Amino acid sequence: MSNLIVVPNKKEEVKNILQKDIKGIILGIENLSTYEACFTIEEAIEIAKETDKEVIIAINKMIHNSGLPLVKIVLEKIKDSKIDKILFYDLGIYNMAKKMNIKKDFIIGLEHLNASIDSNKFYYEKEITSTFITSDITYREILDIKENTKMKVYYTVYGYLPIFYSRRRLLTNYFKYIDKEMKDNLYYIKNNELLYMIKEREFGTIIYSPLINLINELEKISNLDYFVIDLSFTEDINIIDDFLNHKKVKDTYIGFFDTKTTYKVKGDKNEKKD
Amino acid sequence: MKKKIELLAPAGNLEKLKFAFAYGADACYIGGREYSLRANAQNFSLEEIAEAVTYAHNLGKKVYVTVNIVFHNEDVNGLVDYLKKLAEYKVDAVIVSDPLVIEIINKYKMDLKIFISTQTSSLNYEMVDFWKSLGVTRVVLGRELSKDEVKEIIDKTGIEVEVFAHGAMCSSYSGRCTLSNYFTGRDANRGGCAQICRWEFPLYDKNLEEVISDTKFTASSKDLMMMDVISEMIEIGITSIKIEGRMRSNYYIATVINTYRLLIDDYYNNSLTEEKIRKYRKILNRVANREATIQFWDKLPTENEQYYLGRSENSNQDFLGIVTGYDEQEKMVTITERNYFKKGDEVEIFGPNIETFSFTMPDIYDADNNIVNVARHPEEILKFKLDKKVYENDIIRVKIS
Repeated sequence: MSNLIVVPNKKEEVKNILQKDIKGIILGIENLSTYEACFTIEEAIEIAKETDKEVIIAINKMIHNSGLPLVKIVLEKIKDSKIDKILFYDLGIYNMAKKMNIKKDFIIGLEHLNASIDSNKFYYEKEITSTFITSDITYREILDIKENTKMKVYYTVYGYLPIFYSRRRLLTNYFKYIDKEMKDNLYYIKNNELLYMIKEREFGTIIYSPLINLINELEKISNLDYFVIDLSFTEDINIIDDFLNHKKVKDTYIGFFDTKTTYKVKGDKNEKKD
Repeated sequence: MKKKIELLAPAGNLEKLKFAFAYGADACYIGGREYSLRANAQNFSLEEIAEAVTYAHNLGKKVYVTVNIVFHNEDVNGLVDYLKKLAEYKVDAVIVSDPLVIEIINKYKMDLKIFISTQTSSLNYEMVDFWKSLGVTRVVLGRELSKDEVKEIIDKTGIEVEVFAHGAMCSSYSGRCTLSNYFTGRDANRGGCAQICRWEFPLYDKNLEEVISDTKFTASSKDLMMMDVISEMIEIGITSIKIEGRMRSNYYIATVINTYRLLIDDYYNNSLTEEKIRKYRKILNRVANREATIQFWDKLPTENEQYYLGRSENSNQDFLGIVTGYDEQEKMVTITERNYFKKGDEVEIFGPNIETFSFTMPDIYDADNNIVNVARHPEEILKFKLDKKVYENDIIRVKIS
């Protein structure tokens, strides 16, 4: 079995996806997840019951107080289910799960906010044994985290990454301001000829990166535990086969895979001298 | 009686810190040269942090130091020694977003209070409870919370909470934005944010047809101004209200801090009248270079809370000069000029030790006592006669009130 974990693009594809040689699946939970395809907790439990593959539920939306009662219901329901792991963003979810004595594996998916060996060691000490590692550090930094911690590392090798998440309804507000009809909840902006998708939903607005595809880079990161293929906003689930076959592809966008960010303006008096 | 709400000011350097304290701040938050989210602000050397803390403590005030970047492996070197220094200097708290800092402080048993940065987007009582369980004493809540949400967090956790009251807003939940990384290579969560949310873009639909409009798409938010709900903020039990802006000018800091100081004191003295509120609003509106409004406190922001007017921001010309001395015998004020003014202009002076008062500008003299009557050279030393005593660092501005 491969180490591929898949985020499905739509409910109807789950069965087909599970038939492929993958390790498991991540299911966003309705009203608690940012993923494009979301499932009720009952649907997720049913899927887990019918497969021998790993089933992870995702609670990765920004959670306000009003969302906590639903989180509690979901955690209660998965207690005795075959759901294997909980992927969470908000540390309040973890806090609640510990209080409820939920005996499931936790995957911390803090995106940009968890980017070092020591931070991951901290979470591991809290019995969070897996990290869905951020894509805005380089693969060498990620390998360092893998080598120097006991964390199981999940890493997106394919998909659109959320790179901006606002509680504001930015498309609605814009179209009201310009007094035009908003015909869809999905638009694009461009920078350096790259397209960035803007998607508005009831919980706010997310801007996504261009499509990340690390299919040509897999050998460099073979030490990592799980490769995540996020099919949100894509139609073709056969991309999974391409990854299984290590098919080479031309001109893929790889984000910060081998590019460091900077944070001091060049020439600034505070510029870090490495 | 409940403790008075804390007025927390930004300070980008030692001079700004002194201004902030002089104009009424109870505490200042500052960044060191490393590990702080305003990487391109001047920030404080370790020696300056020590000086700032001594200065503040002599006034009975507090200094909090931001150590709030999201650490990458390469950033961790030197952090333990840095934190030990901060503890040695007796800073009143460190503001952190990455829990590895908490781990170090606890491991080395450092005598440092820990506040959680808004960068963590702490939005619910369970998350705040998690921080509390780590020994954190205060959480700076996310700017996206409503009054009811803030109140519920306070009621359910009992922890100190700090809430933003004034200044620029992120359009994204803090910490969940890397637009700057993708668009410019500058790391938003390590202090390099290029404010992409303020950029304007043509918007394209699914078929990549451009949405035609004179106004381009932007995520830009108007600034935050909570003065109208300051009473509610006090009454629900917020511990500290925070003014944003470590890179703002002395004039901005003095004006905003002074105004919130008056607002808070008026509230506690039961002397906050509608007339005063109108006056304070006028002052805050004048000092801002962008429109400011309440954001999430009472509703979800609409198009009225967004900023679609482009990058053009007003340059404030109200700030005319800073008092550098007053000769009581000659009744002569000496100032350093900042913006153009002339004899006959209606101006006012405000400061921490005086009631704001206005007057018509009399004859103006240069440093050699020649009559000039027009101030047109910023940084020029000028003098004029004034019967009322004023003090060093009082500020002269265009008449507003």
